[in-house]
Amino acid sequence: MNNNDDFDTLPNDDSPEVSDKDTLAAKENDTGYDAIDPDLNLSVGQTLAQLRENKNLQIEQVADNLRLDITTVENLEKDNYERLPPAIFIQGYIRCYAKLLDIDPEQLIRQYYEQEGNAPDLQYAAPQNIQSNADRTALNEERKKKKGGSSALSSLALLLLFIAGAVVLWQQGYINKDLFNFSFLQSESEDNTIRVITDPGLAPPNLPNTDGTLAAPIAPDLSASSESTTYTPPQEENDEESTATTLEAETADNNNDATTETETTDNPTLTPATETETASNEENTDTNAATATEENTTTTETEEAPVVVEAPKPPVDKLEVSFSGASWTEVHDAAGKRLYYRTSKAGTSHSFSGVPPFKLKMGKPEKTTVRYLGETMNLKRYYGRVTTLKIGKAQ
Amino acid sequence: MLKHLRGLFSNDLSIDLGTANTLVYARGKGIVLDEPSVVAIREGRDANSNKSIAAVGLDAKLMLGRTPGHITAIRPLKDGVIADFNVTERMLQYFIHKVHASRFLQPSPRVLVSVPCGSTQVERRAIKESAEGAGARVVYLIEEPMAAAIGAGMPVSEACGSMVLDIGGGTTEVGVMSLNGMVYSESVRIGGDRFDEAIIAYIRRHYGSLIGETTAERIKMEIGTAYPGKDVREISVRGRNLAEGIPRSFKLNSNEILEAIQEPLQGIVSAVRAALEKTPPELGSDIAERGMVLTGGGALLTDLDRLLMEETGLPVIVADEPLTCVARGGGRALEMIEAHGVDVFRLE
Repeated sequence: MNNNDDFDTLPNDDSPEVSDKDTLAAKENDTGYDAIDPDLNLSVGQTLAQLRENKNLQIEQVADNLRLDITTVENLEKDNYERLPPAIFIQGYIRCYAKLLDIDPEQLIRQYYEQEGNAPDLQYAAPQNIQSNADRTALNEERKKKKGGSSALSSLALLLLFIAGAVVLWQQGYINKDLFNFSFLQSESEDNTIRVITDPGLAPPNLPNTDGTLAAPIAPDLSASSESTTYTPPQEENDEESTATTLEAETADNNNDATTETETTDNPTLTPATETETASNEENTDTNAATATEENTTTTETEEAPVVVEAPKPPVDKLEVSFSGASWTEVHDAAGKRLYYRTSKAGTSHSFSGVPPFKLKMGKPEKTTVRYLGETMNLKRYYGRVTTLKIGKAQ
Repeated sequence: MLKHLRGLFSNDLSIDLGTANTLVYARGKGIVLDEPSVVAIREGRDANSNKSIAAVGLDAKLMLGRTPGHITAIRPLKDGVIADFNVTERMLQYFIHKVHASRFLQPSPRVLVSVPCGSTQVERRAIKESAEGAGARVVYLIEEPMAAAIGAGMPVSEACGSMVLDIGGGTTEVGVMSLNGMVYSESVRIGGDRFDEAIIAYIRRHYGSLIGETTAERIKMEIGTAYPGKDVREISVRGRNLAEGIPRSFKLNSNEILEAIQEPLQGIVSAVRAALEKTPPELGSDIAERGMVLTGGGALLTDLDRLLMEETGLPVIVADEPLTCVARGGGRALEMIEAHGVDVFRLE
C-alpha cells in the first residue's frame, strides 16, 4: 500500500472527470440492475440509458469516457444497430459502457445477442462463447463418441469396397493375361487348324470380285440365323447394301459379326472352311482371331480348303523378337489384335506373323533384338526408355 | 495416395500453436483442444538411452518446476516460434491424435497453423515441417493478427481498416487489415511470459524472495492490472526468502503488480503507437471511429483496454473469448479457403 504514489504519472489522474464519475459510481454501487424493474422488459439500449440517467451522467460524459462519438453512444442507446459497426464492436461498446455504469456486462451482452440473434458475425462465435469450458469438453466427448462409431463403420465399409474393387480389377487383368497366354501356347501347337477360320475376317479391302459373289450367300445366312435376335433389321439392311455396292463394307460386316456375336461367327467360318475342324472354332473366338494372324496360310489353304483358294493371300509378314534380358513387351498387329503381352525372360525369342504394320512396345529396347523381314533393326537410339515402334507398312 | 485416403477420415484443423497454449479448432466441431504447450520428457536410466514423453499439455504443465532429475518439463516454443523442433513435433502429433477420436486410420488432416507476423522464413519453415512431421497432409500458414481478426468477427474482407492487438504468451502482434490482407503488421517479443518474468524480478527486488513461473502467472491472473482501478485486490503467496533460505509467505496487492509490469506494458503501448503512426490516414480514421480490438490471453489482464484507451485516445474493445480467437479465426479461414480457393489470403 506504500507505493501508490508511483502512479501519479498515469493519465487517470490527469483527467479528474473520470475519477469523479468512478467515485460517484462506486457510491451507488448497490444499484446495478436493481435500479431497473425487470418487468419493464427494457432493451439493451434502454437499460443503458436508464442506468446512465440513474447515475446522473450525460451522454457527452459517457462518449468522452469511452472515446466514442456522441452519435455512436446515442445509436447504442436507441438500439440503432444498423448505424453501428459489426457485432464485435457493439459488444465491446456495451461491455465498456456497462463497466462504466458498474454493472455486469455479460448479462447485457447476452441480451444483445438474443435481441440480434441473426447478426451474421455472431452465428459463428456465439454458440462457442456461451458454453463454459466444462460444457464444451463434455459436449466434445459426446460428439466424439457419436462420431467415432459412425465413422469407424463408414470407413470400414469404404475400405471393404476399395478392396473389392481392387480384387475385381486384379482378377480381370489376371484372367486376360491367362487367356492370352493360353491362346499363345495353343497357337503354337495347333497351327494348321485354326488359321483358316479367321482368314475371311482378316481379309484386306482389296478382295477380288469373285469373293463378293461368294460372300453374298453368307449375308442372307447371317440375317436368317440372327433373326431371332433384336437387332436383325439394321443388320439385314447393312448386309444388303454391302452386297450390292462394295466389298469393303461386306468384309467389315463379317468382321463385326465375328467379334460381336458368337452365334454368327460360326457361319462365316463354316462356309469358307467347312472341312477344317470346327470344334476349335467354338472354343474361343478371341483365340482364333489372335492366333490366325500369326500363321502363314499359303500352303494349307490350297490343301484343305478349295473354296478359300479363291480368297486372296493376305499380306502377312514375319516379326522376330529375341531378348538378351528380361523386358516387358507388347505386340499388336494392324487390326489392333494383341499378339503378345508379357515380360519376356532373357534368352527367349518369339516370332510373330500377321498383317503389318506391327505395333511393338518395349520396356527395355537395349535388351531386345528385333528382326523384321529378315533384317535386324537398329534400336540404339531408343535405349533407356520405354519405346513404341510401328514396324512395316500398311498394304 | 494413402495419405489422401486417410485424409478422408480426418477433420481439417486450425492450430494456434502458441507459446503458452495450443488450441485446436476442428472444422465443423469447434474448439476441440485447449492445452498448455508443455511437454514433460523422461530420460532413460542411462544417458544414452532414448528419451520418452512423460506427459503433454495440462499434465505436463502441473509438472513445470516440480520435476525430479530424470524428468524435464519444457516449453518447446519460445517467443512464438519453435525452440525445440523435435519436441514440438511430438507435441503436435499428440494433439492431432487426441483430436481424432477414431484410431482406425492414422489421421492425415489439412492443417492451418498461425504464425507470428514477425517470424522469419526459417522459423516458419520449422513450424511447417513440424506440422508435416506430425502427420498433416497439407499445411497452410496464416499470420496471427489476420486469424485473430477473423476469429474476433472483424470485417476484414471489407474495404475498411481494422486494427487488432493480439497479446499472446510470447509475442504481441499488432495488425492493421483491409480487404483480407495485412496493411501493417508488427510483432514485439513481449507477452504473458514477460509479465511473469517482470513479476518475479519485482518480488526478488522488493521482497527478497524467489517465486516460480507458475506462481508468478497465478499472481498475474488473479490480481494483475494494467491501470490503477478503484479497488485494490490482495493475494498471499509463498516464496523462498533469499536471505534466510526458507519459504516465507507474504502479501501482494494489485498496485504493486501494476508497478512490476510497467515495463512490458509500455513496450506494448509503444508498439500500438508505432502501428498507428504508420497506418495510412484513411484506415487510421476507420480505426479511430470503431476502435481497435484486443485478443489473446493478454487481453484478459484487467483494465488493459482502459490503459490503451487512455494512451491512444481511441476506443478499445476486448473480443469475445479472446483466448480462442486465433484458433477460431483459423477455422473460419479454412472455410473461406474451401469456398473461394487458397488465394483469398496470402498464405504460405
